[in-house]
Amino acid sequence: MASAILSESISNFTAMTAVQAYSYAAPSFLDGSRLGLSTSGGRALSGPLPRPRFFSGLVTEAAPAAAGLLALSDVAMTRYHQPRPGWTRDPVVTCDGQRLRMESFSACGGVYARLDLAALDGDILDRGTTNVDVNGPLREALARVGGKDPLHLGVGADEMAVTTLDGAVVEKKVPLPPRWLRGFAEVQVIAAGFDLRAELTGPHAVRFLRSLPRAAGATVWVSPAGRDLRVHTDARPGAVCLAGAGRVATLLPLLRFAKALRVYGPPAGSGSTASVWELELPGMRYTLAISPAPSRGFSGEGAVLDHLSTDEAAGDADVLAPLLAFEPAIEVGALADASGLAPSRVRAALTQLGTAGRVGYDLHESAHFHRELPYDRDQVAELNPRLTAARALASSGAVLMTGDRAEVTTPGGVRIVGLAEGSCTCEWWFDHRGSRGPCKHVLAARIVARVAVEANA
Amino acid sequence: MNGRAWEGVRKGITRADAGEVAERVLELDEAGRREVARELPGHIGPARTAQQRLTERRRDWDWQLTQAWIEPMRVAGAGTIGGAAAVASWLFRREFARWSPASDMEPLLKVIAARPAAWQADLAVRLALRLRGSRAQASDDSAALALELLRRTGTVPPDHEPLVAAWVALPPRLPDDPLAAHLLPRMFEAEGVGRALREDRIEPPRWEWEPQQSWLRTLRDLAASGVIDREMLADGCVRRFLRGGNAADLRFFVRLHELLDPAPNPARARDYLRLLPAAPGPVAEAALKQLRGSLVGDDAGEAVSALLFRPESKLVRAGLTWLDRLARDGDGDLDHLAPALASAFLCESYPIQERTVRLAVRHAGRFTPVGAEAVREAATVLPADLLARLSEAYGHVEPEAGLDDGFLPVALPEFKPPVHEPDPFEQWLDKFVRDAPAAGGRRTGLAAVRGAVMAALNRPRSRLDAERTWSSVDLWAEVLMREAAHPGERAEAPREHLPKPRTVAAPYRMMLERCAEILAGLRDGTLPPYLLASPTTAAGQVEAGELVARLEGYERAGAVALPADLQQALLRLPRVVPAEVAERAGRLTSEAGATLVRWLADRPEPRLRVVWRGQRPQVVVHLERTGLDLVDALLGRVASTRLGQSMEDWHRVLPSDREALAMHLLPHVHAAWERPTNFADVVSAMLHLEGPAGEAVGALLAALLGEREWYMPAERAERLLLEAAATGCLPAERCGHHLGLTLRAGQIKSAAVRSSLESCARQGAQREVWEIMTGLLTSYLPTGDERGTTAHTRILAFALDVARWAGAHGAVGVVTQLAERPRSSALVRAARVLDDHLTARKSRQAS
Repeated sequence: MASAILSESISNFTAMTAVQAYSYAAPSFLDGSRLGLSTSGGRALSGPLPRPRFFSGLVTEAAPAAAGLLALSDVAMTRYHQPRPGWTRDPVVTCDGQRLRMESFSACGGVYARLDLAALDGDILDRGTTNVDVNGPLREALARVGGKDPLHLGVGADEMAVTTLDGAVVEKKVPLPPRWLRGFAEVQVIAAGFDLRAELTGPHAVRFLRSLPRAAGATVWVSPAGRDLRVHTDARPGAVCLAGAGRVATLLPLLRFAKALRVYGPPAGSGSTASVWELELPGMRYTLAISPAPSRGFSGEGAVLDHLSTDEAAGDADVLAPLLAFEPAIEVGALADASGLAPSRVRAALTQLGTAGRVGYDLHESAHFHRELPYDRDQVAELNPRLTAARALASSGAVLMTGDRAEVTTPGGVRIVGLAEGSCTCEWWFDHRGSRGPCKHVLAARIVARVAVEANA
Repeated sequence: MNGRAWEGVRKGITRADAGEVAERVLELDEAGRREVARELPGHIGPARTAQQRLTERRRDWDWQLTQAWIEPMRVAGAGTIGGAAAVASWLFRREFARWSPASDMEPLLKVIAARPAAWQADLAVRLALRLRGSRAQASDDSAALALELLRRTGTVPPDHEPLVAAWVALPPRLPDDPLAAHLLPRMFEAEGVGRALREDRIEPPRWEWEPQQSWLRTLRDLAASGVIDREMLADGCVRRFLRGGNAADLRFFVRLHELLDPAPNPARARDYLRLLPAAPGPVAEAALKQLRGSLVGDDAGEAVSALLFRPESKLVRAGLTWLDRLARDGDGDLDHLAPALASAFLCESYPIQERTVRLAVRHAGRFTPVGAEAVREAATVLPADLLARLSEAYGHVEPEAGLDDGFLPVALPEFKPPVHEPDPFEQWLDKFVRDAPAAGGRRTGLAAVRGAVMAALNRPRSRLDAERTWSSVDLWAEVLMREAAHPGERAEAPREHLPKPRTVAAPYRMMLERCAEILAGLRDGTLPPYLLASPTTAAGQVEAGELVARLEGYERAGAVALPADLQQALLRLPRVVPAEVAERAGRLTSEAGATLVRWLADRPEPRLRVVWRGQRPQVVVHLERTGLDLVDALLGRVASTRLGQSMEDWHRVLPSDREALAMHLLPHVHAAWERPTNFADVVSAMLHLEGPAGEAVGALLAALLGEREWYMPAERAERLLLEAAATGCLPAERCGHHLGLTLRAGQIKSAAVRSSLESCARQGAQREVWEIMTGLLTSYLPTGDERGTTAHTRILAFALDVARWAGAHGAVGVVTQLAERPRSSALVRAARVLDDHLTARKSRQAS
């Protein structure tokens, strides 16, 4: 009864929000040296599955893997901005035949974490993406994993394990706010534009991370200086921004295993920008993406909109999607050959796929990877409010093209859009000047401009 | 009964009496309940309005009274609405949100108690599951109501974390609370419990008005008396520790664990061991306390490794002691502990590093070459003196190339003097004086310049009549134009309309005074044919030869110089005047000529000091009286008030007195909200003027360097410093002196100062920055009994970098004094390293 009442009360609570229903055959468990991660939903090579099985075998580096999984779960449980307990969304696991990529996204939508676990020795049963259950007792048990204990891992428990574990089916329902989902998708697109900016060895990484300001909300800029990173309190050319130093806290428990720390950032950032922090651990990598400010999640950064507004990219994405087969890395060249599309169009289509949660981006390998977010696929693009508003403007005939300018009529007055430079006379544009992507008027004008070109052709 | 049921309830609601509504509702039969339930939703608006009116009629406004209709409405709904789900929604409708919950929940509980038992249980569970731990729920009665209903109905509470957090957020009712059996074990698992109990103390703080029952004390007492199983609580704490969380959220559990003082339990030893490496400091300390002396073999090694990697000195020290004991107790090689020893080198505390080195040296013989190599490799992060000590036992270790901080000496950026447009005010004055009398009033020549002023001229009523003092140049321009167009239109003496000297910034006053004297001259017919002070160079100066020629022209025409005009002309003279020009000036016969000669022979030079009074730098200025009132006011006095009219034009008034202009700008640094947004441009223009740069320029640049505001971003302040360095007018030592005092006053952050100075040094100003550092260290570092802080230590470390970049040598007194302090501390060590570097001494610590 309680479960039914709870889901009723969630839908009351979040009338406009989709609800993610997890259904696990049993809770994930760590029993002695056997770690069983229960799966719910998702997609494998063979198609959608309710409880896919991906891996069964040994984790050769047990302690860092357990610590990494805990860090991942910490990120999922935390609201870094205005902390308070709330809903936790389970990590997403992708098996690509070589490793397990586990991802989670903070409740505030500003921190993304991924553990790429390659220290595996066992059988790959299938490739694909799913959710895995993380629960309190599992966290306790993971914290007990020590240096030399071996760890047998099963992702997607076999029927035997399920029956012996007298565990009842686990049903969890959590709201899936569009903002959160959009952020999860957009972080991939944003990271794809980053470069490696600094690399530290283990001991230097320890020193650097311990030297960060204690205040969780402090924003600092770091620039390489010899084998160290220097911390600055203000923006300067060539420095990478870390907004909210407390948001990299999950790196600290992993430091004892760290072999290297790599920092990625946008090529020329001004002011506060996003950044990516990657710890090289034995047999795995732990990656954190941090949004430009604690109060700013990744959604709304608008990076995806430049590509997203073209219907061409949407069409290309449909062409590419069947070619992705949970390969370890997506090669743009190979995809271009296979699809017959130009590499630039492949990239635009990958962005489109990224916003739909269908590809992620691995900075270390500078490559996209196939991953189908096990949530409602259409939701991301559909619920992008700026794009939705722009399409509404375009279809309502509010856009009047006048050469290289467009007049967009809104209830607040007529906005003049400069098509070439993508500028607008609205307040939103005045405030952000493109730092958060194009405004809805520019998007609407672009949509109409393309339609006009097609009609003329 | 038709209608009567509702009527009775409605009256109770109108009287805002929840108790009465409860009575009425309890009297109802099924049909009556249905009737009331049907009427209630439509009555929300009328009930609110009626209550609002009632409150307004009362004389004593009581804001709580405006919401008194809410509780009766809730009671009525709870007693009449059919489904439990509908009642749960009804009770917490948005319209029923209140500033504070009703003081008495009894009427509500009474009507609920009259419903069927299963219904009540259903409602209790539904209300419990509605809890979210949100801010809104913290101020309503949802938690209290849900908990009370669960208790009264004896329902098993649902498995819902916010319910547990809500349970602990209220004072404990143990041991009789029927919910305890279900919720007490869950208190160690649910998220939000640690946060709710962060401030729980065993003894209430003395300032607490109504001390609440403490969870810590209750649990401790019940565990001591055996009512609650101590082991269950201790296990719960440890499980909570393992689940993780930050120190603040685990604080309650750490305190509870300490109060329980659990006996060593081998079953928990492994858990404590695994908490050592990554748990928050207080948790790790608690774990260490339980483990001390109980571990052997691999476990002991693991514990030592975990402790030595901690950032907290206390835990590393414990690890070192343990390591020492392991080394003494065993006799095999210690290679397995080499990585642990190495990680202790990373501890930021120097005493810990030193102790680690001592230990490494003591047991050097117990490492095989492989183990020793691991220690050597990690030792590169140690300070030089410790590295030297370690090298004696382990062989030479190359210190880390820490010097490679990416510093590349570059040339200072070039700064061109700002290109000033010809001053429109001066152009206009010049043209006016030349044309106005000749035009006989209103014609030709003026038409070109009057433009904007004509609009004002045609206005029927001007601000001239409305305002007694004409405190802006615009008004004076208007009155001049009017006078030229309609001579004698206004009769009053111009000086009556000048603002009082204390109400206007001195440079601006000069501009107004000149307008006033021109107006007077126009009226009296004594206007000279042209002005003396009209600038002749782009920088706004008047060349000396040209001024002499102008005065010669005056003498030929029998004109008398206007006093303010003459003083402005003198102030605009360059500082260097060719001898032949001075000689020509000597041949002038007029009084103005004599004044010029005196000026050329002995240009008045203010002597400035900047002293700190409280939190502010203040200028003390001394000037030999010149007898020229405006010059005396401009060079010899600084306004106590922050009058900043037309600040952008001040450099035109004082183009040859940089320091004097800085003196007038300095008070405005600390009144950022009144400054023009382009204040940085004003300062930049000042840097390109003539004249000495001293205390005032230094203090001005210092104050701006630490400012971090949108209107003065770091790069802009740094560019000003670089501009001063590039134009050779940076009084670096003085600037540093005031930077140190500004830091002491706590007005800026030392990290910001370090960052800005480093940025300047990296852009080619490393020598200037070192000079700044000498001044800064002298005024900023602690002397006598003052305590040093990490900010001091960091600034010394930064000074060492700068000294290296600038190739600086020669002791700095205050650094040497610090270095010679007998007690060693991080600050003293940093001072010693810097002093050694500056005096090219071999490390005194190594010796």
